[in-house]
Amino acid sequence: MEMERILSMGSRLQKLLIEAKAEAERMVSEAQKEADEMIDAARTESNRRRMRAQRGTGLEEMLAEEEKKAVKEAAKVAKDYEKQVEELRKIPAEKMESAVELVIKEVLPE
Amino acid sequence: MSSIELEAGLIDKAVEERNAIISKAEVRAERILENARQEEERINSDVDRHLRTIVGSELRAVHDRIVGRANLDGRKMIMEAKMELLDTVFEYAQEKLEAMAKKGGADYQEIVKKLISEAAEAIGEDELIVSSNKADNGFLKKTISELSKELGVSLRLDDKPIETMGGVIVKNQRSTKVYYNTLEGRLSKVRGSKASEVAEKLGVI
Repeated sequence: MEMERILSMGSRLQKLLIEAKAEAERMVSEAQKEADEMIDAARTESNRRRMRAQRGTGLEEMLAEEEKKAVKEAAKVAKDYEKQVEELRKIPAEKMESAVELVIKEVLPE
Repeated sequence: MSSIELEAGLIDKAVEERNAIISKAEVRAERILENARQEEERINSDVDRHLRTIVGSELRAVHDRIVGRANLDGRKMIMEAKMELLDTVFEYAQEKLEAMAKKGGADYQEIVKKLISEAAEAIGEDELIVSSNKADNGFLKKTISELSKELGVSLRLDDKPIETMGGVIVKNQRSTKVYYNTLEGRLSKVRGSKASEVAEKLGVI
């Protein structure tokens, strides 16, 4: 009786492993399918863009993208210059005074 | 070993084996997807590179137009800020000169005499007419003959005062030679000739 129970359990466990292997195969196969679809889509899009480019169309997207990037870069450039202007305006009083003195010295006759 | 222990052992082993199978599959699936993502990236960057060779000059033009404009505007901002600083320096200098001229005094009178002397030397004639503002006319009336002797020329003070913060305009009798030696004239001349030295003093060059 006991032996029968053990054998029955052994068979259930065997089934569990068979199902696990099936599940594993399904997972890998789904991943492979997804991967194939990703690559196919990328190739299709790539070919579409090449064809459009060869016909001289479809460049607007690239130009728009480049413009977007350039606008971002330009904003950074402008910010850098603004910082420099701020720095320029922080002239210490003694430098300002010394420049004024230089001017007066030049204006007045020796 | 009891049958219960045997069962428990079998179950543990089976569960462990199942988990290992699933875990291995997960790793394999993730590797497959990762490879696919890399391949997708490679395809995209290949086509980008290819397209860039076709439209490179247009893209550069877009970039240069926008970023170049920002650089130009930025340089203009810097230039304007420097000019503002110079304006401030010259405004302060003008205020100080005005205050000095308004105050008058021996030092200022000495300066006016030097300005007349410099003008007389530049004109190089014996008879000269000196024009100055109302305040300077006052002290020049008293000192002009003495200054004439000092300089060895005949100086005549123009009764009609000129609009200036200080300094003089000197001319010969026929007004064919005029030497503008007012303070604002000299200030303006310094602005033209010494701007870079002033900027250097400010440390903005």
